[in-house]
This record gives sequence, C-alpha cells and structure tokens, in this order.
Amino acid sequence: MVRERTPQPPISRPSPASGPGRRFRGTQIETAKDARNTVRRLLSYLRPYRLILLCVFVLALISTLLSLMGPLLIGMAIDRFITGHDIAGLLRMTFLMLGVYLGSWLSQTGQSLLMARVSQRAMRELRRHLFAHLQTLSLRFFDRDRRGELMSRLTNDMDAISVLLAQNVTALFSGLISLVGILVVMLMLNPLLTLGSMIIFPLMIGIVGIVGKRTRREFRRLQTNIGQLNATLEEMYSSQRVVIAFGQQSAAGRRFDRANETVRQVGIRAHTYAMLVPPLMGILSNANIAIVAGLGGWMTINGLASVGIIAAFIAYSRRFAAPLRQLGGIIQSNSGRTRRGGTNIRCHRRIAGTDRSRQCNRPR
Amino acid sequence: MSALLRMLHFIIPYKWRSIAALALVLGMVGADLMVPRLAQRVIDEGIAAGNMHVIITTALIMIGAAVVSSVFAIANTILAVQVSQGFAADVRSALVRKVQSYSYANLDHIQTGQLLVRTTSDVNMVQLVVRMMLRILTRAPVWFVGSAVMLVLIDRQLALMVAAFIPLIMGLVWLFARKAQPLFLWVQKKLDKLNTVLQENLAGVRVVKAFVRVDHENARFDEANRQLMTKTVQVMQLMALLMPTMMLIVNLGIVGVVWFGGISTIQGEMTVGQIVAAISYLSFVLFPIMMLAGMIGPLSAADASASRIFKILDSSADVQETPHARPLDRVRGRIAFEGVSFSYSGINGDPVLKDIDLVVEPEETVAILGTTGAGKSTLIHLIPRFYDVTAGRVTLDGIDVRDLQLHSLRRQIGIALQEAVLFAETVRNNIRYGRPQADDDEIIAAAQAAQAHEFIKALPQGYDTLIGQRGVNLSGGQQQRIAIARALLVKPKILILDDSTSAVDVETEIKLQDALDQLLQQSRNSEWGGATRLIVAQRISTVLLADKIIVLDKGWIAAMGTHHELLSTSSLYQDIYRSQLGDGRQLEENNDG
Repeated sequence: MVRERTPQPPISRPSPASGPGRRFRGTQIETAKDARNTVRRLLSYLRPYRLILLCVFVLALISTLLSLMGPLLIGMAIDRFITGHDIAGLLRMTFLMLGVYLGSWLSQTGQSLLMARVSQRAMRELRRHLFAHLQTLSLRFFDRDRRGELMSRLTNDMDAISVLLAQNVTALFSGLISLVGILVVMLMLNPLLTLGSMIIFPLMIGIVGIVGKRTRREFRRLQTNIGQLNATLEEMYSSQRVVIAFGQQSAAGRRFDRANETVRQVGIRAHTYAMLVPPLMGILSNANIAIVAGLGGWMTINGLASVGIIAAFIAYSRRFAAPLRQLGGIIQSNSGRTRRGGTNIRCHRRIAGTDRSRQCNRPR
Repeated sequence: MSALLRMLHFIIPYKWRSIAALALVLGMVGADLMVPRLAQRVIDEGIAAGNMHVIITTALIMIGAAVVSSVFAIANTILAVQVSQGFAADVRSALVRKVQSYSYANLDHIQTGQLLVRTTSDVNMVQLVVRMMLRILTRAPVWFVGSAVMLVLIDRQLALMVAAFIPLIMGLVWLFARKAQPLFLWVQKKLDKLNTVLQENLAGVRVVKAFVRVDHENARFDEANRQLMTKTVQVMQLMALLMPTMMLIVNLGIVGVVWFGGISTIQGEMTVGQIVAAISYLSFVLFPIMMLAGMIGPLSAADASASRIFKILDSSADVQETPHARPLDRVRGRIAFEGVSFSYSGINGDPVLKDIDLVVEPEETVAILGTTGAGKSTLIHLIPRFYDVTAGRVTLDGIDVRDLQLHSLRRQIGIALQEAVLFAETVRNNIRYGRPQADDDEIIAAAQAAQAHEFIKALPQGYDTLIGQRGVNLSGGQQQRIAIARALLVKPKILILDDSTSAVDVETEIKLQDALDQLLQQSRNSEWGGATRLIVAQRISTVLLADKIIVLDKGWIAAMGTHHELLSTSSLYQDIYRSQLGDGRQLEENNDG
C-alpha cells in the first residue's frame, strides 16, 4: 500500500483559539459548540476520500430509495393483479420486484465495501497522528498515577470513534432518507391514512425525548463513576506490592467494593433508561399497524383506501420504526463518543500549545 | 465458546431474575406474533366481508397486544440490566479478590495494564453478551420457531417454499461464521499489539525520549497500525457482503410469497389477508437468523475476553497459607536462613540465592551489601514470604515462616521497598497506611525519625497535602522518606529497608540512621520493644555502623562480619570500600541508585 502524505489535519495544528494567549477556564468544556467542532474535526479525516465518499452517498441514496419501493410494489401487486386476477401482470410485477431488490442489494453491498476501506484508513491516520503527537508531549502529561486511565481512554475512545465513522455516518444518512422517503410515499398513497398513522408519533417522540434526556444524564454520572473505579483499580493494582507488604488487602478490597457497588447501581439506572427506548419504539410500530388496520379497514369499506395500500402501510410502519430507533441509538451513544473523543483531541491540542496537562487527565 | 459458557456460573445468584427475564421474552414474542394474524383477520373477515365490528374489535386487540408486548419488553429490560450489571460487578470483584491473594511471584508475571484491561474492558465485553443473551439472543430462536409455526398454519405450500430458503440462509451464516470468527480474533490480536506498543510508550516515555527513539517507535506503531487496519477492513468487508445478502434472501422470499401466494389467491385457494400476514411472518422467520449473524462478532470477542478472565481466576497464588498455620503473638525477632536457595522459576531455574546460611539475632542491625543482581532484595523478600524458598528454610524465632499465618507474620514486619510507591492521598494517610488507627503524635514521631517532618511541614497543607496527580509532586528522596516513615509507624519487630535511601543525600541519610538508632533505642523500653533491622544498600556509607555486614555476590554470601573485620579479611569488601570511600569526596556521587 502506498503511504500517502495527507495534508496535516487540524489535530496537530495549534489553532489560534487554543494558543498560549487564551486562558483555559476550568472544566467547562462541554458545550454543544464543542461537540459540533469535534464532529467537524473527525470528519476532516475523511476529507481525503471525498470522491469515494460521494460514491458512497450516491449508492446509499440509491439503495435506500430502491428498498423503499418494495412495499409500494407489494401493494400494487395486491390491488392491481391479485385482486384483479391478472397473472401476466403479476409475473411482470414479480420480475420488477426482483430487479429492484437485486439493485438494492448491489448498491448496498458496494456502499458498505467502500465505506469499510475509507473509514479504516481514516482511523489509521487518526491513530497515527495521535501516537506521533503523544511523542511530542511534555513528560508531565504522562503522570504515573493516571497512566492507566490515559491508556484506557485512548483505546476505548478510538474504538468508539471507529464505530462512529464506520457505521453511523452512512446509517445516519440513509436513516434520514428513509424517514423522509417513507413519509413522502405514504402521503402520496393516501394522505388521510398517513395522518391517522402518524397520530401517536408526537407522543412517542416526546416520551423518547424525555427518556433520552434522563439517559444522557445518567450516563454522564456513570462515566464519572467508571472513571473513579478505574482509577481505584489502577492504583490498587500498581501498588499491590505495598498492599501485600502492609497486609492491607482487606482495606483495599473494601475501597474497591465501594466503587464497584456505585458503578453497579448507577449502571443499572443508566442502562435501564437507555434500553427503554427500543420497547417504546416497539409499541409505536405495533400500535401503528393496529391503527393502519383499523382506520384503513374502515376507509376501505367506505371506498377511501384499498387492501394493497393497507399492506404497503403495514410494511412501511415496520420500516419507519427501524431508522427512528437507529437514529435514537446513534444520537445517544454518539453524544458520549464525540464528547470523549473530543476531550482527547482537545487535550492534545491544548497541551501542544500551553502544557496544561493536568486538566486533561482528570476523570470526569 | 466454552469460556463464555463457564462464565454463566456467575449468573447463578441471579437465576430467578434471569428465568423471569426469559419467561417475559416468551410472552413478548407471543404478543408480537399475534399482530400479523390479527391484521389478516381485519383484511379477510373485516374488509372483505364489509364487517365494521370485526375491524374495530380486532384493531383494539392489536393495540392491546402491542401494549402487552411492550410491558413485557420493559420488564425484561429491567431484569436483564439488573442481572448483567450485578454479574459484571461480581466478576470484577472475583478478579480483585484473586489479585489480592497474589504474592510477588504472581505479580512478576502479569503487568498492571493487563490486570486493568481484564477488570474493565474484558468484563464489559462479557457483560454486554450476558445482557444480549437475556434480551435478544433468546428471543431470536423463539421468534424463529413461532413464526415458522404461524407460516405453516397460514399455508403449507408457502411454508415449504420459505423452508427452502432456510438452508440457504443457514449455510450462508455458517460460512460467514467460519470465516469471520478467526478474523475477529485476528483483529483482536492486532488491536492488542497496537495497544501494547501504546502502553509501552506511555510507560517508558522517559526512556523513549532519553534515547531519541521516537522515530523508531513511530515506525513500530505504524506497522501495528497498518496491520490492524488491513484486518479490520477484511472483517468489515465480510460483514458488508453478508448483511445485504441476507436482506436479499428475505426479499427473494417476499417475491416468492407474492408470486405463489398471488397465483393461489387468484385460483381462490388463499386470501389476500394471508399473503399480507405471510409477508410479515417471513421477515419474522429470517430476521432472527440475521440477528444471530450480527452477534458472531460480539460473541467471539466476549469468548476471548472470558478466557482471558479465567486465566486470572484459575491462577493460584504462589504463596499460600497452610491449613495448620500458626498465629504469632510475642516475637523476639530472631531470623535464620538455613541452607536457603531460591530461583524465580522453580527448582530447575537459575538460582538467584545459593545455599545461604545466616542468623540475625533480635535487635541486631544487619546490612546487606552487593552489586546489582547479587540477590539482596530477593534475600529479604523471603522473610515476609513475598516469595517462598526453593530449598532450605527461613525461620522467625525458630519457626519456619511457611508454618505461620501470613497476616500475623507480615504484621511483625515493616518494610520500605526499593521503589517507594505512594498513594494519591494525603501525606498523613500515606504514613499511617499500615496502621490506620495511629494518632498524630505517632505519625509525627515516625516522620521525624525518617527525616520527613521538616519538608512535610513546608508543604502547602502540611500533613494534609495530597500527593500525586491532584496534589504535589514529591522528589524521589522525599517519597522514600515517607515510605520509611510508613514502615516505622507499624512499630515492627523487624524493620527492613530495601535500598530505600538511594535517592536521599548522604548527609540526610546519616541523620536518618542516627534518628533510627535513637528511636529503636527508646522503643526497647516501651511496648514496641525494639526491632531487628535489615538494611539493603548500595552505598557503603549506609552500612558502616551495622552490627553485621553481609556481602552478597552472585547469590552467595561472599563475606560476613563487622566493618573492621571485613576491611581486613574480604578483598571484595575492600574493593567496594575503595571505589566508594577511597576519596571521601566521592561520597556525594552515588546518590541516584
């Protein structure tokens, strides 16, 4: 493989905002602007692959649109050919469906194959920069007491960013297209039924929003507590010889137990909240089918809809929940990822300029 | 997957909650499976027959099913999270307890970083799978069987057609699993390698900088980085092929249902509602398989994590208390080495100590001198049983140390280790680490003797100053003096200073020795009752006044006696003496051992 020299990404460029002139104030670094900045910095690693990325997005667009056609075609097959007793038409429709699904398969495979290469190359660049940058930091950054934490942070966050780049960038894109596309197709098919089936959405989105807010708060608490547990473990393991020499095993054990128990309790709260979202989305999807069946049935009897439309709507209802769930998940997990990823990047940048290692190393 | 299965042992305390969670999964899937069937009823019995009553009641039942399914799902989630978090906490605790039982030999073989990864990310990985198991992993097969049954109920021929797809999809998953699993492990290995390079650089950053090895390290990292990328791309591309292909198979099934079901319907053998329901059940049949395929990665990663965890849990402490170990109450402090040999790697290893015979009388001060690697630290590590002898025996007051209760043996010993490890706590807490109930007067007395009181008082908050990352950074010599104070405070019958003044300047060291003499002298009349002193040293100035000096050379006792005796009898001692004290001014030099 050719080792290309990409233009220096901003990670190692001391930005004017963080130069020695600007004082860094405490730990108030968690603002929305920062998160957006972080995403932009991360995306800058994808910049060398602009053209490939363009292909990826075009392919994602095609595959999403094609897969959206599926339920529509099923509905048409039912209404026009099955109910209309037209075997030749049904055969034509079957071939059309085959073609659409094959096209969707091709474009999706191509998109994933390309994205795998691009994202991992970007990751490699990011890791390379990070490592090279670590080598230039002052020794004070590598305080012995926090080495374990620094290490675990670097590796875990790199992992998280890798997932973010590899899966979520395109998932976010096709998820959004799916949502909009489904809505458009449904409105075109039958506006009244669409309206009816959207009744519970605001309610669900509200609930998900509340749960999501709680989740984020609890996860922030969990993160802090996990940091404390890790610090306790690190200190305990690295001073194990002293612990043995002074026979303080049970005291050390008690200290660990406290941190461990806190993490368990906070972990239960945080994860319970986080995992409430899928079942709530499940209600959405199933109840929606019920509404489509009930309302659609009433409308069909009154000549305002058809069985094929109901079939298509049922399929769309299932699909609508999936990207929504996905988006919810992505937003939830990423707020943590980018935040922590951002901290790392900011730390390095800041250290480069001002050598304020302390604040970066501190667990939050 | 055997390691992962063994891990289930840790679920036993939560078995009822786990069983309840699984039962809820059954109910949840049952309610989910009703929905397409009900939709079919709406279409066939409601719309086709023009029966409004059927439509409304069926739709209401569907909403009921949705609510029931979600309530079950929420309850299942709550239980699954409780079980998995409790499980993780228990495994962490088991790991910590195991490490607490370790001796020095165990610690020699495993790095802090490794232990940390076992207790954090490995436990997390397994915890994740436990949670998935209680939520998704069990749901998939139930779902699969349930919807297959529903398909058969709708139409046998359609079910047969769908059945034709199952071996195809299973074969695909099997093929994928066979290819993917080794790849996942490879990625894990490459990642470990990358992390090792990173860890080494973080830990050895001073060395890397001092020896200008930055370019070399960058190259090393680049190589590990490139390998990781190649393998990751392979795994991801495999996934990129699998997932859309699975989706395609599901879609082909749908096309099949539309075609065959459509013809049947036209011929009057099936209804439209059945086609709609069949399409729903079709995705229900095939999705669980896809779900399982998506779990291969996490599952194999968790299995690897589980086996690494068991490597620690299955290890046994190198030093263990015998069942008949005796407690020790009144100690005189007579230590004897009787024909002691020691090797770090068992009987067949290279001996570090060879046939040592040595008696230290109560309240004697014995100094151990020798070059690096002569076995000085090893010798004194045998007394508190940090290691066990390979041959011979070490006795305290005539009792083999292996016959004593570990805790009661070590309680008699105060030791300042070669590397002064302090905790990120206050100075006070560091000094009273071995005896938390000590009062301030005692703490100050110990600090004074260790020549630490003066500089501690000069710290921002005195004895309440935090040490380490969030507090002050102490110099090597200051750290060593706090470590000595810590050892003194336990009022040991045996005081061991393992080269623990190497970073202290000679002048302070002499003061320290004098203060120690005084303290131990006074202690004879108190409840403490004096202490036997063993001092390991590189500097001859440290050992001049000892009652007995032992010169170790390559694991043998080369000479033994007082300073004057050795000066006249041992040529090795003379050499050391001349090299260090030949010219009095060189005293200052060797102060960075």
